[in-house]
Amino acid sequence: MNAIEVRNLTKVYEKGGGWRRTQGEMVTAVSNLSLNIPPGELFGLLGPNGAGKTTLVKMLCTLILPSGGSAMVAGHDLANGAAIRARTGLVVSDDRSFYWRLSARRNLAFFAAMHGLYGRIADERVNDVLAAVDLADVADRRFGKLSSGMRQRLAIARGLLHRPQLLFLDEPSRSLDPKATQRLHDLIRQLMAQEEMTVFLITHDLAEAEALCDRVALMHKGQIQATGAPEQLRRHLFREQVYSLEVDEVDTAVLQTLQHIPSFTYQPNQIQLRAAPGDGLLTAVLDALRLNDIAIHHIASAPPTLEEVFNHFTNEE
Amino acid sequence: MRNEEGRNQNLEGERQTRHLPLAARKLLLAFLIRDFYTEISYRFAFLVGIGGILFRAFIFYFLAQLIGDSAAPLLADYGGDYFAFVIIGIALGGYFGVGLSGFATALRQAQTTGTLEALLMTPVPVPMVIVGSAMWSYAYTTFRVLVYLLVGVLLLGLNLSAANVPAALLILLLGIISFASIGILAASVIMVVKRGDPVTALFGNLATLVGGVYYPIDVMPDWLQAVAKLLPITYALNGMRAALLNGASWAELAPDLWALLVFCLLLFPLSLFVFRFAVNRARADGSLAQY
Repeated sequence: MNAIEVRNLTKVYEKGGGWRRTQGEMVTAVSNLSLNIPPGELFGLLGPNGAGKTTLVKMLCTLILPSGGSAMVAGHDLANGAAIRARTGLVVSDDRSFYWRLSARRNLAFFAAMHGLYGRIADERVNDVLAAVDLADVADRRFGKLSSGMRQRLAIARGLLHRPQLLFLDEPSRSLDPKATQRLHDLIRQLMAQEEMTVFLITHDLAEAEALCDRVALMHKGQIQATGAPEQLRRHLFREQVYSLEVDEVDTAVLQTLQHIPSFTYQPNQIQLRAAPGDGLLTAVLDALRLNDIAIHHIASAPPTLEEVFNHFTNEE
Repeated sequence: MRNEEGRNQNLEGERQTRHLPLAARKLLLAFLIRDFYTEISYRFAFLVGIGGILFRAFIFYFLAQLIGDSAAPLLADYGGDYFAFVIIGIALGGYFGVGLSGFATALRQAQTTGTLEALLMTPVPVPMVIVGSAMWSYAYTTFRVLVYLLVGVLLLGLNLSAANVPAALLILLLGIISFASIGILAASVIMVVKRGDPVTALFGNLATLVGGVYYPIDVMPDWLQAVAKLLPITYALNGMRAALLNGASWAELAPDLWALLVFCLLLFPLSLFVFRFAVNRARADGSLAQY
């Protein structure tokens, strides 16, 4: 059984809100979306602002009602909200979701009670998750006095209190410095192994998705545009490679013969182009260099970055 | 599976949370503990609040001295003592205020501070979240009422020796349910429109004006007395004063008790229905935790 099975999920908002609504004005946030995520996977959902990522996750967390389609989350239909919420955790990067005047420990004890954990069992679990996120030493410090990184780790601790089968992480590294981000990534990997859970990561940080995720989906305009392992996605969708050649100086006449190659760029002693197998572009460049006795010192090739793939799908290139 | 035992514990928690009678007390206690520690973290404000309770009791005592026997004919049904009359009005009026605005305020506070979404991600049903969030206000009001009564009895000559305590407690219970029902209607409005709830403003002002908190409703013109009879606080105050000050019998209290029961039977299911509608509307709009 998959941790998440989504079938044609759709969310259409009516503009206006409140008691009165404006007839006829509709905004589609998620459109006919289908997705399967097997248990134990660290799945990344990438997309620009307004792509529908948060709406999708909030539907899966039962905080928003879908307009159409269906989904099974942790083995339960979306209609069974309490069962889903008992088996899932949502970690948001919003500092305001905690009680600032209470200590880290009291915050966690309160949320443990909300999950039906009381007394000794709750105390033990709170201590366990505080230790897991390395916050045991500051457990009795007020939330308002914790650093951004500590607050984020406390949010993860809260998400783990009830041992969820599935953890949603909504931009967990937002507003963290690189060192804190790295520490958070290490923690997520460590927890994945310890807690045996599925993680659904929402991010628009491509490097984060690439560093952490087994599989990513690119979401744009309410739809999944592509799904796969970051590496596979790049290779599959972009057969092109980026070639960098270190060469002797190339004179203007030779460069003019290569102007027909769209991605061709030349800076002193450095040629760069994108070419795919069979398109003849790399051969044309190599032939031109050889015919003009221009020495090639080094050739390197690399697949396009995930950012280029992302830009391709969101037409932001 | 390493986590299987822990997840079983967690699911036991879910079962408890679903079967509310089993877990309600512990859940409500968790809300109370949360709000108690938040409240005492503002030490100065907490102490000022306690001091304010004592001050108000004495203010009304001296006001009663000023009024003296001049109001006695109007207060004949309540033993003729203005202090006794008004202290019970303030005490019960406190419950009315909390019932009316406590849920909407708790909801609005959780929306604006950003904690509502985190609460809604737990298996606790939304109505329980709202009730739990208002628990501290009820506990604090109870404490305030006890202090008023204690100061009144020990220092200011309030005589409750003839009180029909069981009847007073039943009136209090029915009053709280009917006040809270109006409060849940107010919270429903807040759930959807976020600000500008007309229910609290309308009922709050009407109750203060015509409910009989500070003066008997007999002093008002007939048409305002007719309006007063549409509010549960009028019957709750009348019954409570009769039970505590006159030691009225169950038979004497029956009209007020029946009126309060009718309010409960009409308002409570209506408020739950409207609240469920409002929650579903907010979930459809995606605005459950927005403010």
